[in-house]
Amino acid sequence: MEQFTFAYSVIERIERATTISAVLNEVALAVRQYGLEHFIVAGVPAPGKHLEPYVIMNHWPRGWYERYNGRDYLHVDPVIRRLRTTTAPVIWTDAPYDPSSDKNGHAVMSEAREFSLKKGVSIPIYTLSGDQAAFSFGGVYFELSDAEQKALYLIAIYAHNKARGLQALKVAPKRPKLSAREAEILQWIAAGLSSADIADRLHIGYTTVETYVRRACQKLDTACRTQAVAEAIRTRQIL
Amino acid sequence: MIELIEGVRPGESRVLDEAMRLRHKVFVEEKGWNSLRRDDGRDVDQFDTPATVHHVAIVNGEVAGYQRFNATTGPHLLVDVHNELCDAPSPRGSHVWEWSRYCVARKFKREGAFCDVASTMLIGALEWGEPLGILNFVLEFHPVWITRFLELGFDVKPLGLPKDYDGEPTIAVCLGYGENTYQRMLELRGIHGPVLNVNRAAIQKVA
Repeated sequence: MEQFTFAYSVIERIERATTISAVLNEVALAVRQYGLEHFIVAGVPAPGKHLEPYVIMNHWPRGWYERYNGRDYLHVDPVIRRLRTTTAPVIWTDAPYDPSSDKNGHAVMSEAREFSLKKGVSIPIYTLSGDQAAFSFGGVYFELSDAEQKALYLIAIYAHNKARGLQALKVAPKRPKLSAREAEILQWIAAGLSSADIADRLHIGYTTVETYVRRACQKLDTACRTQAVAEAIRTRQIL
Repeated sequence: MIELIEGVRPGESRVLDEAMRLRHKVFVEEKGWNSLRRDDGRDVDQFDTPATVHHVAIVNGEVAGYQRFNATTGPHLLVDVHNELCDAPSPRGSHVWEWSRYCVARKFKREGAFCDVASTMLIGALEWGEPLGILNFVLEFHPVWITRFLELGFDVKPLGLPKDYDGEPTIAVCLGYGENTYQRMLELRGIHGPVLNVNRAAIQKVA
């Protein structure tokens, strides 16, 4: 009960956050209660790809993140291997690998210890598109009760969702809206009129029509007028 | 298309009978919920009553998916059987219905993706519930679903911490939705509504 109340209040604060760093701070503050110092949340890239562009929040020890990326440890990390095939949280010490034959896997696990990542848990997250993400928490100690682990699980799911949403807002280019005239002209194009027809109908010059069309294409980030019409309909700027 | 079946008892509808075989196949044989195992290969419990609303997804004449709804003003799974999943009081009222036994036949699942049948049933749930003034659904599922429902524009309020059931984490939640959620799901799928077939004549009775 206590752990549920705690998780719920953290989730409520995360929901109110308006920046990724605010989400990160809420998580950092919450997991300190559990003696966990470090965490990272990232998409899990397909084999062969680099981790960097997939990172959503990074609160990993300085130096470790750089080494992990520099040596592409992602692809030999036994925890990541385990994560790809499960929907349940993975306690690092339960991620199977054979230290005698899996030298690379052993290197990741033992070097992580040098950066105070001795123990931890990684939580798999799956989005609608089928993409996988993971939220990893680590520290020197990992002595969480079952209820505390479940609270952490819940916090991770909501924090990932919030941070991913905020990241999408940041990445998505804010496109300027069409002016009334641009929208009107695209509407006529949609009805099948040529630039010359539109010029006649609106009593404006042919080159003026072409200028409006070009500007609409720029605003909608499309290559031609047909695409512009489709995009304007999709974004509900014309009917 | 989703067939809406209500006002019948188990055994009174051929389509519902097939849906109960699907339930048994998915929950007992695939997920290993052995407490539901029955010799006749049908999953039927005390919450399959004439007041229960069944949605059966049909693809090319085959039963492809299933979900059911029970009023929370009466007995229901979460409160009467799995109450230990709730650390907070589970909401009840005429505007809250329980959503349970959501499943898709293996044949109609696509690996890793949110398949057509699965999303059509979510659309069907709102298409059915919204006009009836149902504002919330209580349900239990694997926590992995939280992210997907949030992405679809649902409000997902946990009612307790996840607990392990037969080795799988399970959480009870209360779902809410906005006035655009239904439309957004249709757009995401690139289809037009309705997805529900409420033509009662289509329901063949066995007897």
